Amino acid sequence: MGQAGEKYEKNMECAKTMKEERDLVKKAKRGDADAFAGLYEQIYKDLYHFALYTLKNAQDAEDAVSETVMDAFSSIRKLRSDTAFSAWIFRILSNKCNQKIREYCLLREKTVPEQAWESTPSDPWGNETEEYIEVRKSFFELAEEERMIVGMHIFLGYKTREIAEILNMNENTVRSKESRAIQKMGNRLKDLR
Amino acid sequence: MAKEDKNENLWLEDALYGKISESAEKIAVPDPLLPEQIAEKLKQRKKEKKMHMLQKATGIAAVFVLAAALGTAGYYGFRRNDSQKSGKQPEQLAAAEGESSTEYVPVREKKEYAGDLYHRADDYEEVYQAVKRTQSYDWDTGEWFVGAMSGVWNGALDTNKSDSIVGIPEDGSAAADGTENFSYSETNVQVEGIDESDIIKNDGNYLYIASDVEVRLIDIRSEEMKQAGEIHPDHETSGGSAQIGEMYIEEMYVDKDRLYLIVSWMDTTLEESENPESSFNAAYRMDSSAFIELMTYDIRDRAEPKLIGSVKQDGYYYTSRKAGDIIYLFSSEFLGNVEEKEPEELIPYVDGARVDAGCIYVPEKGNSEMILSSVDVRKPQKTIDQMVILNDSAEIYMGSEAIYFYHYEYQSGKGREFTQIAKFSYKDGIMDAVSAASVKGTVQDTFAVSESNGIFRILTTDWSAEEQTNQLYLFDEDMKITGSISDIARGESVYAARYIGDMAYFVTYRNTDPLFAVDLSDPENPVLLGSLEISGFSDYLHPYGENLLLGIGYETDPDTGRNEGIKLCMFDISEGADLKVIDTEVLKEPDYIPGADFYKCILADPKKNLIGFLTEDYDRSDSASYQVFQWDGEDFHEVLSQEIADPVSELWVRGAYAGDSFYIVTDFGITSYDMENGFAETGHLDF
Repeated sequence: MGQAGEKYEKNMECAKTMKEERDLVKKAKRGDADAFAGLYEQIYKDLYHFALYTLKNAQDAEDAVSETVMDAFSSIRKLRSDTAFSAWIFRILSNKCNQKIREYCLLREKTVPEQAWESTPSDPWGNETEEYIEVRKSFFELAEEERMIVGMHIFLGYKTREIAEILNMNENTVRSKESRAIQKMGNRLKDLR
Repeated sequence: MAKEDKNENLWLEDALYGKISESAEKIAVPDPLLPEQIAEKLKQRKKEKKMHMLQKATGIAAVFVLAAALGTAGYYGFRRNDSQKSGKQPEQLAAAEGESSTEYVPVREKKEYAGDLYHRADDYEEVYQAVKRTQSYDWDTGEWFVGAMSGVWNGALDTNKSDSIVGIPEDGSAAADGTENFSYSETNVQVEGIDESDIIKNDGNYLYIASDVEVRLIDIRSEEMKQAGEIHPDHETSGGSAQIGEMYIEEMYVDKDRLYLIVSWMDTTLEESENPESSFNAAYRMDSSAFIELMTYDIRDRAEPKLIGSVKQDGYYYTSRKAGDIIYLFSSEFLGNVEEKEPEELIPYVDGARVDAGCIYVPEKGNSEMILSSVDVRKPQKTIDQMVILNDSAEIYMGSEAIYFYHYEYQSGKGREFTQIAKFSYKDGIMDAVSAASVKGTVQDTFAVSESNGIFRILTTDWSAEEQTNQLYLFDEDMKITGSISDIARGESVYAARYIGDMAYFVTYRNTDPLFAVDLSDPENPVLLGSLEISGFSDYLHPYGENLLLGIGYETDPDTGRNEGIKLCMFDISEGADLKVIDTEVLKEPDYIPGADFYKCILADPKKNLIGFLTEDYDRSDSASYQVFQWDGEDFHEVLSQEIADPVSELWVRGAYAGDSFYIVTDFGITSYDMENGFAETGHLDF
C-alpha cells in the first residue's frame, strides 16, 4: 500500500473511532450503561493508575475511580462536546484526587500518615523488578502536589497548560514544580545506584 | 551550565516518565473497576433509580406516619405566616400588563415556610450554613441523592384542563392560516394545558427540529418539504459575554410566531485564580460556569428568525413548562465543597444578578440548588420572578395551580422511606411557598402524582417491608391529608398511573398486570372500585377518547415473568368498577419501547386515531422501527412500520402529523406519508 493509501486508512480509522466515540457518548447520555462502559474501557487503566500513583493508596484509588464513574454516569448529560469524554472524565478524577489529597493534608496535621503503599497486605503491586520498585518509591517521595502534576502528565496525557488550567495554577508554576519533581526523583535514583 | 541542566532534566523526564509509566502497566486494575463490572454496577444503579428500590429491611416495617402533620412540629417549628403575603403583587402585575415600561420586580417577600421542609433564607449566610452542614458527612455516597438530574419522565396525564390556563392570542399574525378542520400533533405532555418543551415542535405548517447546535424550520405546507430557515444560537451575540464556551440546544417551545429556545452554555475558560500560588486549595469547579438561556425568536419570517430577547440563569437545564404566556425554567447546580468560598459565591445568578436571599428556600441542610425563574413571553428579556430551593434532587410536578417539588428520604438504619413534597403556588409567574407534606414510600412513576381542583393526589410504593405495599393519598389545598387508601396490591409495585378527572387508574405488577380503578370524587373517602388482571404489564397509560384507556407495555409469561414482546392494550373504563379489556396486540419481535419510559416519544391521539412509537429489537442493534397503529373500536391495526436505520439516539425519533400527512423525524431527516393513501411514503428530506 502506498503512502497516500496508508494515510487514508489512518484517517478513516481515526474518523471511525471518533464517530464510534460520539455514538457511544450519545447513547451514554441517554442512559445506556454498556455504551458508557465502552467509553470507560478505553481509559480505565489510566484512570486507576493515575489515582493509585497520586494517592499512594490502593483503596482510596479504587474509591476515587469508582466515585468518578458514578458521578460521570449520572451527569454525562452535562458533557457538552461529544468527543471530549476522556478529557472530561479525567477532570472529574483529577478533582476527586485533589480533594482526597487535601483531606490527607488535613489528617496529617494530627497523625503521621501511614505508608499505605508499603503496608497494604493485599499488595496491588505484584511481583516485579527492583527497578520499578525503586522508580515508584522515588515517585512516592514527591509531595502530593508534585505527584498529581507528574501523574496528570504521565497517565492522563495532559499538557502543562491544561494542568495549570485544571489546578488553577500559573503555567510557569506548574512547569517549575514539575521540573523540581523530576530533579528530586533523579537525585533519589542516583543515590540508590 | 543552565543549558546542561535543562538537557539533563529533559533526559531525566523522558527516562523517568517512561519508567514510571512502565512500572504502572504491571499493576492490575482491581476487579470492581473492570469495564464489565462497572457496566453491571451502572445498570444496577439505573434499575434501583428507576425502581427506587431499597434493600429490604430485615425486620417488619411498621405502617406508620402516613403524612407528616403540618402546622405541628418540625425542624423549625411551623408558623404559617399568611399575613406576610405581599400586598403589592397584584398591583405590580396589573401595572406591568398595562404599561410596557413597568418592569416586573421579583417578589422579595415570599412566605417564610414551605411546611416544615424549607424555610426562607434571611440572608446568604443562612444558605451557606445549610450547605456547610452537609460537608461534615459523606454526601458523595448519595444517601438520599435520588433522582437528581433525572428530569420529569414517565408521568400520568391529567385531563383536567384548567380554564385559567389559556394563552392570550398574539396580535393577529397567527400562523394557523385560517385552515379549518386542520389538525396537527403536539408534544405529548403530562398535564393537559401545560406545554412542555421538546426537541421537535409542530404547528401544522412547519416542523421545528432541534439538534445539538441548530434548529431547522421545515416548511411542510406542500408535499415537498423544504427547509425554510434555521437558527444557530451560537451565532448570536448572546448578551456580550466575553468568552462563551460550548453550547448545546436543550429543547424549545413554539407558539404562533415565536420560538422559545432553551440553550445550555458552558464556559470552557476558567476564571483567573485570585491567588495563583496557593491555588492547590482552589480546586477547579466544574459546575461553576454553566448556565441556561431562554432565547426568544421572532419567526414571522421563517427564513430569518430574529432574536428578540433572552434571559439567563445559572445551572444545568433540568426541565421547563409553559403555562399560558409564562415559561418556567428549572435548572440545577451542585455546590460541592464550600470551605473556601464566601456565602455570596453560592448564590446563583438569574437574569444578571444574584438571587435575593428572600427568594431562597433552604432545608436543614443541602448542597445543591434547584433554580427556578418565570418569564413572561411578551417581555422575553426579563424574568418575572425567581426562586431557589437548596435541594436539586427534587422532582417536579407542575399542575394547573401549583408546582410540587418531591424528593425521597431514607432512614437507612430503619429501612424506611418517605416522599417529601413541597407545594409552591405560581399564579401569574409569582412563586410562593404554600406548604409541605410527607408520605410513606416513593413515587415509581412521575404520572403517579397529580393535582386537580386544588386536590393533590399521590400514589407511592413502599419497599421497606418484606413485601411492597402501595398507597394513595389525597391532600387539600394546604397539603393537609384528606383521605388515603393503603396496602394496595401487596408484593407488587406501581408501573404506570393515570388520573382522569376524579378517577385514578394504575397498574401494578408481579407476574400479571392488575389495572386498578379508584374513585377520588370524595377526597375524604377514596374508593377502590375494582381491578382487572391480565398477563404482562402496562408501562404507560394514555386516555384514548371517551371511556377508553390505552396501555402500552410488555407482554410477559405469567409463570416465568419472561418478556415476550411489546403489548398494546385497550381498556374499557366506562363502567367504573367493571374494567374490561377490549383488545390486546402483542408485537413479538421488538424488545424495548423507549416511549414507555419517556412519554414525549409517544404519539397517542384519539381525535386523529393515531398511536405511534419507536421500538427496538435487541438482536438488531443497528436499527429500530417506528410503528403506527389505529384503533377501530374493537381491534388495533398496524398502519405503518418503518425501519429506522441507525438512529443516533432512540429518544430523538418522533412521529408527527399535520392534516393528512404523517411524519417520522429522526436525526438524519424527515420522511412523510400520506395517511389517506395507506401511509404511502410521499417524500423525504435529508439533513
